[in-house]
Amino acid sequence: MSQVADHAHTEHPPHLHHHFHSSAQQAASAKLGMWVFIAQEILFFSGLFMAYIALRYLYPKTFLAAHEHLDVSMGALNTVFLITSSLTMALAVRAAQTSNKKWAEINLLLTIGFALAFCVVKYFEYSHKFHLGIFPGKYYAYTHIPGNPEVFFGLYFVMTGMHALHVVVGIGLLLWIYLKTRTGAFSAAYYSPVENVGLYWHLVDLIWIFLFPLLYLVK
Amino acid sequence: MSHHKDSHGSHEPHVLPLSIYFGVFFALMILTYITVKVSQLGLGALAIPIAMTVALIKAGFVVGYFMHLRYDDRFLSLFFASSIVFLGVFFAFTVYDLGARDTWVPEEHTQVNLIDGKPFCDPEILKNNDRRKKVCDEAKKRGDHGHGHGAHGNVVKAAAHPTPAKRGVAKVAQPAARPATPAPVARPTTPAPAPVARPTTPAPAPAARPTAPAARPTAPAPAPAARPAAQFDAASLAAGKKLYQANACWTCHGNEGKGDGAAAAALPVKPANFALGNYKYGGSLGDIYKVLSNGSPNKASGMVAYAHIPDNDRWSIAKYLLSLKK
Ligand code: HEC
Repeated sequence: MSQVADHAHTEHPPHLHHHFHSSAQQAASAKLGMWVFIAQEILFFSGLFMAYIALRYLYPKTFLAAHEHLDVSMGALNTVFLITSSLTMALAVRAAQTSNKKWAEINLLLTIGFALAFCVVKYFEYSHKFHLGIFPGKYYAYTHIPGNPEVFFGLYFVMTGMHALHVVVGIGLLLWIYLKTRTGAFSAAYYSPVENVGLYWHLVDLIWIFLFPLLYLVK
Repeated sequence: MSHHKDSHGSHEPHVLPLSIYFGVFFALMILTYITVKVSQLGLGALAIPIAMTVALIKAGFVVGYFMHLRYDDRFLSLFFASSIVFLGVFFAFTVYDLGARDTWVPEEHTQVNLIDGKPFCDPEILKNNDRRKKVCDEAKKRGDHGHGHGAHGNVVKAAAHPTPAKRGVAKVAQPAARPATPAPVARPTTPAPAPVARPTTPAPAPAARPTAPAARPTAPAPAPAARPAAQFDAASLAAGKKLYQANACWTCHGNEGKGDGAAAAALPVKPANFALGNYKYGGSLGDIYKVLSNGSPNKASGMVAYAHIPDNDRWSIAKYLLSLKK
């Protein structure tokens, strides 16, 4: 079968890049890179969470009054969507690990579906805020919350906006993985992209796990 | 990775049983339900620790099982843990710094003013900005009709937040009336149930956008002098002025705070000129409040502590002093 004389190319799986010794090494390197990225993401968001702590410390009553204007059931619904999408994502990775192409496709589609549902709910939340005149920053125009609600909603829009941006990027990545899965690119021998996009997607869920109680619930 | 089949071949994936994934999923759902329920109990100071504990447990499930960290190479855990350690360092030092400052201005005395020291809907700005006036009018109208929950909100400034009168349909229109009223779950697609929702819904957004560039041109010009009087509400300033006179501050500091009061001549240390804003002990609201409460750090200066003046009044005086800066 192998007419290539070069010994480095004998039994060389198509996914294995030249600079890696083995598939295992390649997969481990890719995953390590992903975890470095995740560590960076955690530190990136920590700035926003620190801003939350500082501002809440400075404006405790404002935070209590303003957070009443977020809709808990919407936030809870989105939490359910994200957790469920995390499950389907994990199942998609598992399907790829077991070379179950059909099952991987279904679960990836479900994950994308829940991600879109999350965006739809966010859209309704944001548009209701805008409808009331609750805009970010200096365009804030809703005068019926005592204290300095601009501070709370500024933070709300930045934190949820940054998170939503990650969701949108995630949808793009999931679509890419889905299309590649359809071409049969992944199997038990090679599923690194599925796994690493999965890690990214769980991270998005992870951040929301903290955003939801801090913004919607704590009183 | 411990198991290489051969040097080029595939590595065997570590496949978790389905039961683990579904178990974690149900645990996460139940924990979500618990946080929502607990938050409705009104636990006060305990609320944050409880919510964060539950969130940490949830995070542990996601990281350990969905993200496989429990079963993966230890080296990856090290990376993850290092980010958490640095996050802890960052939080700890910043929180320590926050707590160590002693001249925070309480939020009641802070006004986050955003454009030239005035709120977005300041009547004076609205006078010559029709677009913004429209946005503000609509926001006001909606607020009056909806949000009948001044009742359970924590009213910081009662005066600034008159409880809107219940006007019949008001409750239905407002999806945000939270805890007490789970019955009319008027929430689902938010803007829909509002009486005149459809036509007006998209309106404010486009209307608001254009004001953005419109606001720009005017902003940069007066920016450098942004601090003065406009930052504080007229009532505090008037009260501050009265107190400044009633407590005979002027005998030393002068009528306009220039440090030229009759008694100043005899003082060993001359007071600063408030009109120039060159405060010796810091020119922020908090700094001024502190001198007023504790007296000058220079005990021989004649500037004694005025702690007997009620707290609120001291803040008013401080605001008034800042407003003296030309
Ligand atoms: C007996 C004269 C006298 C009276 C009365 C007096 N002050 Fe002073 N004040 C001083 C002097 C002198 C200083 C400068 C202290 C220094 O430099 O250490 C000073 C400093 C201050 C400062 C700090 C300025 C800076 O440079 O940081 C403030 C604020 C202030 N006074 C406010 C008031 C207020 C408000 C009142 C009235 C309630 C008042 N003072 C009454 C003499 C007086």
